[in-house]
Amino acid sequence: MTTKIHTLSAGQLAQLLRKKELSAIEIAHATLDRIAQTEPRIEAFLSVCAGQTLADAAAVDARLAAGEVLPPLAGIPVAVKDNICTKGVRTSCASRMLAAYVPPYDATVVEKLRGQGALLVGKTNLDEFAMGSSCEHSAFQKTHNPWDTDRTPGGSSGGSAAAVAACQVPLALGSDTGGSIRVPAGFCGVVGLKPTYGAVSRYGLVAFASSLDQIGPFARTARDAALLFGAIAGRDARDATSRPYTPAPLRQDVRGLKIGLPKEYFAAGLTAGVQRCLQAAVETLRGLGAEFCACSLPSCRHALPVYNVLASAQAASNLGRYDGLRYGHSAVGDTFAQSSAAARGQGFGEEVQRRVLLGTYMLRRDGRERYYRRAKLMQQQIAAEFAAAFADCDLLAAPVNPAPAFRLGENLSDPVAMYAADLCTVSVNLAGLPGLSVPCGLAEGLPVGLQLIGPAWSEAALLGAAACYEDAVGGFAIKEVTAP
Amino acid sequence: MTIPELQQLAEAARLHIPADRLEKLRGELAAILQKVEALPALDATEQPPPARPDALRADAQQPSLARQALLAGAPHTCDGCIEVPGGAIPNIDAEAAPDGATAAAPNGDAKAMPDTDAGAMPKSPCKEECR
Repeated sequence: MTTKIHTLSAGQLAQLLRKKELSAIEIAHATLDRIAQTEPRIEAFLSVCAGQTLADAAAVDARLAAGEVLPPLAGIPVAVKDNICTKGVRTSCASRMLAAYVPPYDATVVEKLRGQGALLVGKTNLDEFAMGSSCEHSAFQKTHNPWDTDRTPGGSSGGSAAAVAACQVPLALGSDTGGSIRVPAGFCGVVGLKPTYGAVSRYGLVAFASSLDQIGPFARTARDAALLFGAIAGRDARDATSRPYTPAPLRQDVRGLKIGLPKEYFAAGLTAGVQRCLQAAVETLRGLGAEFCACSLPSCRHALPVYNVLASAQAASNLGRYDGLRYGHSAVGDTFAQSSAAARGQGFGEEVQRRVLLGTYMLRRDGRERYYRRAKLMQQQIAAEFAAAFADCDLLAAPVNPAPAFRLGENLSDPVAMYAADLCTVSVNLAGLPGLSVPCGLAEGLPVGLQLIGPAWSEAALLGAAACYEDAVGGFAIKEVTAP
Repeated sequence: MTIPELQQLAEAARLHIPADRLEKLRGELAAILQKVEALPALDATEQPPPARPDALRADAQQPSLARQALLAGAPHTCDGCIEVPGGAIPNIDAEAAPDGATAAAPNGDAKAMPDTDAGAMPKSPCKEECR
């Protein structure tokens, strides 16, 4: 084969496998070679399961040789964010607290992928406990953006986005609480989908903010993202917030699709390069037959502080379980309170500590009324404004990030500036809606993402519109990562 | 937020913060809280109904299991009821556990049972017959 295997999409790999022009073991070797070649520059993975990947690939080949009709993801390499539990494989959440934690069970999404015969290649880096927007808050390593290794891949699912962008794997799973799939997808020039809250089971996802967390796919094309999303979506008895859901076939064209442009997202703050790319994307979609109209989501300007209150409060509560006694990092003290405080002080990084403190502050008796209740009401208002917008529009289009990827270290000492990276994405989580990032060009030589937002359960429309757009502009651009 | 307030907060959050980090942390939290303080207060009575997809489902009554189906899964039944052990508990040394004062824990260890008034707990009327 003349084309490099690692550059092929999941759909192409699946086709070649079925035609027996490629074996799963060849795919596995090509993937592991690519990771070995590029990982010193990218540092996307916290663990690589080479032996298991080769064994699973051999099993897929044996099933194919026996004439079995295999599921769509059989033999396809997938990377998994390291806050999603994998039986027998360390799941650290990029935290010293869980540095040695090996789950005795698989998350439902992992179970589903294993059931399909997907090759679970390894676990990817993230901001500790998924709290961050740059992947710099990992306790173990900083992941680099394949487009410019001096820049952040975004976060918190930066490892998954970078792994897909660097062609280490065609598919990866991430989680999105305030933009953690869409922000890195935008920075790295790949497709990232944050599904409707409840579309994918959260069982086995280490909880950050349970009412906002959602697992979703990364891919280099919208059709690949749809393939992975289809494999993981649906009701799970072990997650009471999940719903029965079979994603519809992708929309085949955008003719007549009414897309709203929320004016608040296009206000001051976008760089000229981002504005130019978004404008070009709008013109492309208009040329394909989509109709655009202006709309307004006035309360979205309050989304970041609302998110800070709600997510921090839930994080403080969820992370209360790490007491240094039951599991995780432990420390010695004269009393339980002392040993627990020492374990948490040593085990949690600075960003996690900041959010735990903030959340604890929000949940104090006076904080509940002064902050939490106020934030809940504003969340309701934001969701209502989205619902009103979707009465007039099928989808909304917006930027993912106000600017392309920033330099590593640029915002590290300023938490408020770092939180602003999620400015265009948090509202979608607050409203429980699906949102997708699709690459729409380059500014300053770096990828820019177009965010498409839809009403609940509209993933097929989002992915379909993104696929039509990709067909029109030529799809994912490969930035070759050279060895150091 | 003052340093003593932050120390109190850290204690509530069970976090040991080294003294040399307190001032920096205080400044960072103050900057975040300043943004949060700017949130306008909305009137709860004017709020629209929740529009999130995970809003609570209707509290609809579902048919329960039929009595016979339920009884079919029970190890012992008596007169159309599930029979539960009343006096002697299996796998417990009667000498060591007078009056059923200990029970087997899920891991097989014997553990103390809370004090109960035996007179207030009527035994199954047909225990002997059904055994």
